[in-house]
Amino acid sequence: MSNEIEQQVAVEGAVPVEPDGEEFARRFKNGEDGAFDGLVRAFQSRMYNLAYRLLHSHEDADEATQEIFVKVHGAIGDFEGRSKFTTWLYAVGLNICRNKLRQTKRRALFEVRSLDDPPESGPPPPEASTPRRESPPAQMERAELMRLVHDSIAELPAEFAEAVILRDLQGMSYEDVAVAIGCSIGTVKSRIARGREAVKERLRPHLKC
Amino acid sequence: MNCRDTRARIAEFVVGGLDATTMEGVSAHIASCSECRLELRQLEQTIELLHDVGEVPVPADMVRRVRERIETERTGPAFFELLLRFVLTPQFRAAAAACLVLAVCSYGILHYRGARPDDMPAAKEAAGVDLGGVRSQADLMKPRMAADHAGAEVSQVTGQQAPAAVQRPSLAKEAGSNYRPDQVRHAGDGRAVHDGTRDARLVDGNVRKAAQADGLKRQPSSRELQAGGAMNETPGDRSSVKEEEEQHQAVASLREAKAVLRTKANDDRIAGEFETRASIPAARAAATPVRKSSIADGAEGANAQILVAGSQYRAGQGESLPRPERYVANAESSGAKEKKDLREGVAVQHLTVTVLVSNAVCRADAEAAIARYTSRDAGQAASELGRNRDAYGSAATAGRAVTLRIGSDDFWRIMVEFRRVGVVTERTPSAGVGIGAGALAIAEPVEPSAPMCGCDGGSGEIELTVEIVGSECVCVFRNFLLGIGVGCCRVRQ
Repeated sequence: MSNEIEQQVAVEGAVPVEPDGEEFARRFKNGEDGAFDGLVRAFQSRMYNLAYRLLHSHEDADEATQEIFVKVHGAIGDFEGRSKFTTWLYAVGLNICRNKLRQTKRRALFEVRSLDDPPESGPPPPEASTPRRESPPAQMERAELMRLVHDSIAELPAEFAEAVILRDLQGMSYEDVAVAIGCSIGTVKSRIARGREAVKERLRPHLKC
Repeated sequence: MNCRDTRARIAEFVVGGLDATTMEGVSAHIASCSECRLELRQLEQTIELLHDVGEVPVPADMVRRVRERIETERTGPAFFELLLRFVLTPQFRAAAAACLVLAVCSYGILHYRGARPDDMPAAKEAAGVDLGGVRSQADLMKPRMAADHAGAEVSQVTGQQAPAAVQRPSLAKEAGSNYRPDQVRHAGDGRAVHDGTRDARLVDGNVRKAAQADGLKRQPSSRELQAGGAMNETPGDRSSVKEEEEQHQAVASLREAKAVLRTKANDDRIAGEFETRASIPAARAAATPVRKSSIADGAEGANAQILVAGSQYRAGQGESLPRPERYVANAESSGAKEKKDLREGVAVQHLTVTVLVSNAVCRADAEAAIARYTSRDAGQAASELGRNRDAYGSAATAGRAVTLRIGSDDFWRIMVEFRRVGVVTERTPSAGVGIGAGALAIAEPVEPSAPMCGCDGGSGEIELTVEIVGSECVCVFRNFLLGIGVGCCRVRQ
């Protein structure tokens, strides 16, 4: 029954078409011009969104994304293809985001903001990736619901957030998530389950069922 | 398998994270239980919503910027860029600030020591003390301990009354800068006290310490202790006992008020209601820029009190708490229109906020609240929701002092929020506190789950103690530069 649910959700959810990372890596290793630029273009959105969901700041996400690709540029020669390129890329991305998060927490100790300061540029209101034909009130309601989802993810503990983001937002398999995070599949499933449960609790008053 | 077991495992069931037997049990229960089916559908809906979260757009020219960065890292940053990066680090700035403070202090001490000998005859004359060669002038000019020992020794060895007070302008700052230098004296152990404060225990302790420092084997007699007490009295000021009594009365009245609150809280637990012993309207007005006032200006109630630099004020029912002059001065400049002036005029070295959570029952909730407060992410998320919240600081552990340090020459804002105080259920009314320069407010909730108020601006060092006892929240603020306020909120659950 659970597999059916997963499959059904996977069909309904928007799982992006995966670019061929191995091909980019091969071309880059062969010294092909523009291969690395193509790689950045192909994966920049995924890395930026991963960083943004984990760091909750466009500025930090922007910087982290650049760091990820700089790191990839330096280390892609060591990529031996024992795992999928995307999994390896996500592992690099997660490491950089974790470091960034630690830096951010340290920096917060010295940071000062005033009530008068304009709020940091927040994300554009999260909207459903699939356009829906809904009435304006229903659209507003959905926008509010998506905002709540966004907030719920932001409030998750980092380890749960990582697992939920990779699985539910980035559409990775449990196996790939486990490799990227660096833990067992059982742990990944547990974290995803607990993360989803936490999000559900937050959304409960707004769920229609 | 019952509903409780099923619901606890439903998320793991969906990801297939249970063993075969449990999977079957959950599956069978869901098939026969409509409520658990609803639970499963809600989880499915949650997963769908997670999948529907849209992507945020990537900033333009990412490829070019990545290229440039790779080039920069390949060639290595220029020397001045590296230097600039180093200078901009918080660690460097903190170290530079420390060096600056050290340099200023060193200059002040050297300058002070050079200037003092000229003043000595006048000081001796004013104090009416014959030092009898026990200490040299230079020794007596040494700050703090030398002066303490001299005073103690004189009283012990010669039997004469020690100098009434070694008045030093610098002590005004120690005492909180709320008083003129001539109002501030040295208590004898390095601490500065205001003339209005008489702490017998402090004085007794000093005499004992001095006796030990001088190698005396015996404990000082009560007469000597009395003489030590006289050390801190200025001629004509004989009201110490009275003030002491007043202090004790204030503490007793606060305890009494807390006991009343506890009792009342137990008697009538009405969900959604919120009361405060300190005047919330006054506090709110105090935070209004138009009035440029503070909680001290209008806080009332039997339990309202203010502690400024060791001096304690209290106000009876309906009375306003007094406001120290310095506090007023800062309060005047803390209005919204004057913030620029305050920003330019006040340098904040650091801010220390100490939060003490003392009640075991509500510790978990308080811990969660503090953790949320100190989480930058939570602050940002709240900010995005327009809740006007922010968060700074380090992670907190309830039951221990939590110290947040903010170093800047700019404004700061502190908001401590306890959205769920006491033994709580969901969506309880909240108590919150905010601190600012000359403006301090205790908030009442706009709605049950709403965040609390806050104030803005300020400088100096602040101690904030939040004590949660049962359903009440007692907040004590001690701002050594600007003023202090006390509020007592009560939250019904």
